[in-house]
Amino acid sequence: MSETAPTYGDIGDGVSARLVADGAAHSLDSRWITYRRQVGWLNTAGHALLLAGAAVFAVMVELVSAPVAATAAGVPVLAIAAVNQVWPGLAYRYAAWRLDARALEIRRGVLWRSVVVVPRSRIQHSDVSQGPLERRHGLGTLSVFTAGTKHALVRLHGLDHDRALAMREHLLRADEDDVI
Amino acid sequence: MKTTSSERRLHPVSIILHMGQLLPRMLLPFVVLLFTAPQQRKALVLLMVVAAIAAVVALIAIVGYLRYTYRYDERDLVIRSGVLVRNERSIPYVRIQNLDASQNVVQRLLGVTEVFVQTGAGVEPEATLSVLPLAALEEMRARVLAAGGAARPVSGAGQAPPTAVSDAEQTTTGGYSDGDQATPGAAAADAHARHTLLALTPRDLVLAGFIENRGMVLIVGALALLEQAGATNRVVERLIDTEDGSLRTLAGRWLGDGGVPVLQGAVYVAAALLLALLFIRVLSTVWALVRLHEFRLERTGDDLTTAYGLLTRVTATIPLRRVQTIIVRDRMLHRLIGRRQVAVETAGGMTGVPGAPQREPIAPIIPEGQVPALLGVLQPGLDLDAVEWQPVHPRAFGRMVRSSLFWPVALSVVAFIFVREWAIAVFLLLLVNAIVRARLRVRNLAWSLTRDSVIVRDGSFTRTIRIARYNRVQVAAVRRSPLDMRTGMARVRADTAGAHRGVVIPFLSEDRAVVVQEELVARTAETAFTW
Repeated sequence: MSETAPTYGDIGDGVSARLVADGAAHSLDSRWITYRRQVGWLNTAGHALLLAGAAVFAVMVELVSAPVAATAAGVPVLAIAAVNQVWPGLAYRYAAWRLDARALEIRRGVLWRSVVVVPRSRIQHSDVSQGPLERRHGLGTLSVFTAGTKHALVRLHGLDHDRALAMREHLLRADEDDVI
Repeated sequence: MKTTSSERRLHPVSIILHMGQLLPRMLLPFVVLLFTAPQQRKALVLLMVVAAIAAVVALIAIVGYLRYTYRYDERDLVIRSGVLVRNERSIPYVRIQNLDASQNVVQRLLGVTEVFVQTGAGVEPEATLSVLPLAALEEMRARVLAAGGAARPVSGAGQAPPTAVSDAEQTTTGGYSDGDQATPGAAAADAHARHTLLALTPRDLVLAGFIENRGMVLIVGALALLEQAGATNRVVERLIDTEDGSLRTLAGRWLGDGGVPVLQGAVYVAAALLLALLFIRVLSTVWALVRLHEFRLERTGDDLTTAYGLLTRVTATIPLRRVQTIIVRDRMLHRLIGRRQVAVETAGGMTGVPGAPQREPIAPIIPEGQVPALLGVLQPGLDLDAVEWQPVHPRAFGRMVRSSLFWPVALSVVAFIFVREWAIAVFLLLLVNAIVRARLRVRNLAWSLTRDSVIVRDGSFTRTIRIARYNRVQVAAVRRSPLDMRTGMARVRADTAGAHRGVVIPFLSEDRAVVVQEELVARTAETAFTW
């Protein structure tokens, strides 16, 4: 927890609501792009390993010659690496969220774009989670559970971790006053 | 295995029934092998293996039976079970929504039934008692009712059904919610206030079966059984492969020896196909007659109860408050004879009893004139005739055709590998099909946000009207695929807790979609959601 980052936790109701549920459209945390790119590298590495293994195997059983195998494996890996490098920037551009007294709205998607709105009264409960890489960047994911089927679980990635916690706290506290 | 005096067991016959469930699947291959084993010694070994398996299964069944007990505590129904891992489950009577029952043929002959204890949320029953004597079921119902639960007596499962009324009696919804169950006396009296909403005659079932055309399910089931018995190969042999395979000889006799003029051959094939299709429909009819025998839909207080089945008798209860979406469906044939089908979705799944083979709609077939009355029971104030239908995007037809081109093209490419030039015929057929469907669908597609609910009309040959009340809508989502973005359209989904992922309005213009979503959120946010 850095000291320069604003803390959302212990402030009284009105102020935290203003900070957390301000009804303004927010982009994801800018650190998310770096984080996703790093995840992308892991993803690329995984695919590279798989493809390299397949290529080596193919060469060993003399299915194809070495240069052919190298190209057949190398080209996809390059493509995957390129996509993983470029995609996070695009996804960041089209991602946004907004939380106000009435609902939580999440925009996402590059090719398939969606706007999901979860009314506050329909939130059953919520989680904040942090993968190991997310932890390194101070990011967190807010998961909101509803009674829906297709949208039983709505995730909001790329939040500052403290902010995510504050949002969850806010949802919890406001929830207690709701009729369930 | 000691039990206190108040602990009861299932009916002892459940041991045998349980074995009867486990054994066939495990033994059938061995039994078949037995009959085909030529040598004496092999047969003996197999016999011993079969006996050993049977003994083990029997042991499991007996121990399971002895370990399963239930008792009536002051506030809870307590069920203990488990052979290795002991489990004790307490179900407070007040949480018990209903006790559903299912009896198959054997169980009915023996006078026992499977009981499903249903509580408020969730789709799976809290507990399943397999099997109890009928008297024990009645006792359970009485006790749960007296102790504050809502387990109303239902017709079927051993009880004499009330005198059948074939019209939908629309007795006014004066029977208000006695959901408090404060006074057992009042609850008991109200529990008997049953109104029959729908009772299907065999003629109705014949129509329903013919239209739904589920004969293939039976055929696939029969094939699966054959496969399990390991007999498929031999059946196929007998029918087709060998020199004297039955179908082959038949075909030979029809077509004569030597060549067959193409036209005649084609006619024969077409006729055979038609006969086959007709046969499947007939099968479907028979199955509907058996499956939905004496179908009855009743309203008891705040619940709907359905009872049906000849071989397996099923009784199920659906509390009206658990209804998430209502679906009115009709196929072409339905419309031809002025019928519809009405179904409801409850949380996580369709209506029906978990143990029963199928979950049935609450009205498998119903005259269209009776639909408004039924809808009025499900959702007071719902009037489909008064709905102001809104259209979708004017270019929806073009968009539909574009997106439906994928399969015709893909399948034609595949067909090309097999039938070369005829692939064009395949493509044309599929294309015409896609275009006709799109045309019909566009003419039917409409939506509306009424005072209480979001309603969407969709479908080409089979049409559906889906209705979800705002207080059942969970999430409002707008989605645009790449094709949507190019055509300036979007799809709105009002997600519910029902099975089919809510109500979807496709092919709206982008701006409209945003407005509709906003409206949905506004109406949804101001209503509370309760299970």
